[in-house]
Amino acid sequence: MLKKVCSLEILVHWTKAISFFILVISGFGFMFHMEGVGSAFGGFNQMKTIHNWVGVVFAGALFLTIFHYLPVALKFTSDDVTWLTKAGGYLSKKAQLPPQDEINAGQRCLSHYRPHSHLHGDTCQSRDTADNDLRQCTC
Amino acid sequence: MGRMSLLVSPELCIGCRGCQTACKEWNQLEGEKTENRGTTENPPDLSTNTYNKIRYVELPSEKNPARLLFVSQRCMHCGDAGCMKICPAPGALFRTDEGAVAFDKDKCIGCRLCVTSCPFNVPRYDADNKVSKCTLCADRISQGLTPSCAKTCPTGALRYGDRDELLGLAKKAGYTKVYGDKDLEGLGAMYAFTDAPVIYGMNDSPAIPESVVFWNNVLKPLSYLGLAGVAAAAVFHYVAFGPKK
Repeated sequence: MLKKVCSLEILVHWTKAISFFILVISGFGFMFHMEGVGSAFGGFNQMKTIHNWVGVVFAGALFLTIFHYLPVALKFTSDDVTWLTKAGGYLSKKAQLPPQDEINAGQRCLSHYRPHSHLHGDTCQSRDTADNDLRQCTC
Repeated sequence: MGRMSLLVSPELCIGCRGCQTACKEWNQLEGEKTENRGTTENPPDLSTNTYNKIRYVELPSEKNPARLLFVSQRCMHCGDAGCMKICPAPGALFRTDEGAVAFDKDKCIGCRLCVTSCPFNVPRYDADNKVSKCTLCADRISQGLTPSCAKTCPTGALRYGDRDELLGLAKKAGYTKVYGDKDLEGLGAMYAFTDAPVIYGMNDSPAIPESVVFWNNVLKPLSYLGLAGVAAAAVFHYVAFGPKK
């Protein structure tokens, strides 16, 4: 089996994923006064504490991700341009895409966009590995 | 029941601060340790133990070298209340049948968002990190009684009653413009000013901060749209392409 990501990346990825969903659910609970969500968290008081601390965990994991992927995300080649002009092949099943390295051009763009907007995508996620030029993780 | 409110007439106020004492008595609020700050205005600001106070405004002029204005300060019980808009804990801030904005400390989660969204800088937090402010004596008015401040006022500077009746009363007394008549969908504490509101230390056009309005009117609906969009796209993809394509 080819190893694309290291255990630290996997840990950070899932920390982010789980904390993200806890934050979304409790956040919607607060925003729209969902009593059911409040009681699932053991009352709104407790939900606030959980929301605040999970927020810290999420921010920490996000910080790690950003710095971990910054060198990779800063590489931008002609292959990335081709990838972008073909919209990553998402609009057609026949599109021919150039090989990408650890992350593709879309993920690269997203990782630059995210720190500024506080919106969250996940650069760690690289599913279309079939044509990718795989290399060992260096962390 | 019609909306009830207070009518404050600073010109009638003699600054006895009976309203402050009556408020403390009814709401069982402790007194505050004071110091001489060169004025009889005391305490200096609203606090968790001071739901209302009289602000002293000194306005000496040649015509009247000793002009002193007494302005009652408290929660204004806005018709469109910023605090209630932004409060994330259901029931922590609520509107009574009489139109007052009251609080429930047990439900308050201590996030202090109401402080940032109040156009009049009213809510205060106690030692337990819970909201406190004037409730227009919600427990009294629900029983048909007058709020303790208005009940004790000896000159009629603080009057409590049906909002429309009070407005009519002010108009009849010659006040063409009543502060809080239309602002924020009508305030629950209206002021009969004879001068510009700024002179009394009031904002000419009080408004909920733009950030709160933007959050409530734009971001909040957008987040629902986003959630619904994601769910709809997932369902569409599942139906159109299947689970693993």
